[in-house]
Amino acid sequence: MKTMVLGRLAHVVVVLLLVSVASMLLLELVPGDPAYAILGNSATPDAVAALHHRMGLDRPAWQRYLEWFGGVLHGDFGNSLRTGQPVLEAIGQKLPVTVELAVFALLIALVLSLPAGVYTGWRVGRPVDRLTSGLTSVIIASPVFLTALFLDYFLAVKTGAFPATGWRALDGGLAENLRYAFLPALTLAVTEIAVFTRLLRSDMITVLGEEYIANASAKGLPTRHLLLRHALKPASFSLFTLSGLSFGRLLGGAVIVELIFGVPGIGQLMIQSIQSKDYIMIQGLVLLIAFIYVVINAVIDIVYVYLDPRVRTEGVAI
Amino acid sequence: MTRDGSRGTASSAEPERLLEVTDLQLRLNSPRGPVYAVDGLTLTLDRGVTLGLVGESGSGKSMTCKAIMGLISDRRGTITGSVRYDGTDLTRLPLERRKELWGTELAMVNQDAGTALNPVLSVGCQLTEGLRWHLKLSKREARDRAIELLTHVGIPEPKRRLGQYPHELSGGMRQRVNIAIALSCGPSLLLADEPTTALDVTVQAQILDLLADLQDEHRMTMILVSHDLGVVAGRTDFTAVMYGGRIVEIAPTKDLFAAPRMPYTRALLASMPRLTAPSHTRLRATPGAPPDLTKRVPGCRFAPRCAFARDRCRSEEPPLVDETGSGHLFSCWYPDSGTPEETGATLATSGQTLKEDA
Repeated sequence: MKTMVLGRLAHVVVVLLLVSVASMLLLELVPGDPAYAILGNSATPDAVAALHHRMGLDRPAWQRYLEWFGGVLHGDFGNSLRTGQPVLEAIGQKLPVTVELAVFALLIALVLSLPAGVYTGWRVGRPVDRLTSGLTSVIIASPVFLTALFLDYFLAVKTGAFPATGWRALDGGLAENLRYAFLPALTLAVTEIAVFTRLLRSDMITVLGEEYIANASAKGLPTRHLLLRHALKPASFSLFTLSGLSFGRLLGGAVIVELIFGVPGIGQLMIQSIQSKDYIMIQGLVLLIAFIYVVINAVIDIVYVYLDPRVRTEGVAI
Repeated sequence: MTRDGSRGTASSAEPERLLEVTDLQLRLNSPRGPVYAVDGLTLTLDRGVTLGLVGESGSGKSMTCKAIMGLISDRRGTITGSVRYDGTDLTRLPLERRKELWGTELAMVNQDAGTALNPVLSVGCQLTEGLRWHLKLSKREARDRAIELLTHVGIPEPKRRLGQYPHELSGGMRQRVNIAIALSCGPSLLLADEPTTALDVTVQAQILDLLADLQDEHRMTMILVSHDLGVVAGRTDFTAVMYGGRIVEIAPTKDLFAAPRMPYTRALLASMPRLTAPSHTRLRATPGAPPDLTKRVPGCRFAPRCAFARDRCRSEEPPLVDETGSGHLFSCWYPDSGTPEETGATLATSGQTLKEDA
């Protein structure tokens, strides 16, 4: 168990190193110059050179990377090239919003997909299953901006039940906060619901075909007990892993939803930073999102060991 | 069938007849059309009796058990005929009512102990859930009862086992757990579907002894499915031979092994290895394959493989009858066919050898 945790930790460190190098290289290769973004396109070459010197951009990329990396090790992610604000402070303001959205979306997705997956996996081929199957196909095939506009139109514009755009922070009251968070969270959740339901359905079908389910049924146990106690647990392992991956994806991939609904989260910050070539901010964001992603998955792997007794005793090496 | 002789004929207020299966048919749905897995099976069993069910793979032994229990879902197949258990026709009961009898009246032990237990639930959980649901025991009572049951089936350190998971137990232990689960709610009929096939020989003997003891204690009726004739010869009161979804011969075990009447039974017995035969003797295999159960042909099902089949065998199906009135039923137009080598004497000895083995 200890070796497993240590191994997982080493894994996290290696992944983060690779991610930070990759993000640096990528920004280096992308054309554009933060100096022009700040000074405007009509800037004189002298002014640009002066700004480059001030920002350290006249030095080679590897030097800048090492300097930045040294800072990161001390907890200093540098300052935004665009606003001069410390990167950690800027992220600290935006991150809670995105995290709340991701958690909310994941909760909605699980609450809806668990019963849907169990039921359709049990009643395969029945009308409800066919309908769900068609619906999930449509959902998976539709791009997120379409879902967003669709939900926004029907739930906000038409009925007025929810605000069409905007955000209220938690300190303005939970109810108001949730009312604003609901539509973007639901939009994020919709795709996850479809994917989760399909995954759980197919795993339920596999498990329900197992000999031990037939055997448990022959004990005369009620169907509810068979489905929820005997079948759901073994069928939910891959869903559990997938929801960890989803959470990471929701953190980094909420860009479009945040833009459409005007949510001041990480996604908006990311777009602004990319537009202005604020590479210090982008590196900080990428590293942070990668960190959260990798840590969540490491935690899931470890928790998994507690969930599945077979993995626990066989001591799987990772 | 009434049990003969010494063991367990104790009188009781309960009626002797426990199970009465009449013209049972199980039609399974398959992509190739209906499969007649059980096709017109008739059988009666008294309390306390053990019936051995033998036959090749695919002859419908397991499906007979499943059909008697009523474990086949409507989507999977259709059951017709009647299964009167203690006077109630199980085939007419709705699923919910049947479920009340599963575990408490009819219970099953399956061939593969490894796949019969849920890998992610503890032994304790799987052993107590039936007790809690059917007998409405409290958590504590169920736990105590579970420990008793595990002790009873010969599992050491029962308390520790409750917290263990199936993969932490050996194959023999798992089968003991399965038996403990099957017996937990005190069933009157145990359907043991090849309970020892997946186990090694010593464990096999232990498990069979255990079943016999438990059966005597509870005056339980048992159907023991096996393709191991040695097991059946030594441990059953009656033996039924199945072929193509039907019983083709059924008799008190001693009679059947001493004087098999139907050529298929003879072929089955002749295919057994014998200790008395010189080493490297070729086993006498029956040529041909079991019948295709999707097709229903007139005549005796065994006729295509039977060395003694005549025209009548291919056109008219022989009924399962008791010609001599001795309780030895078989379905064959020309019983006792065959060369002297294959009949009487040799088979009788083989039967005895088997009994000594078992």
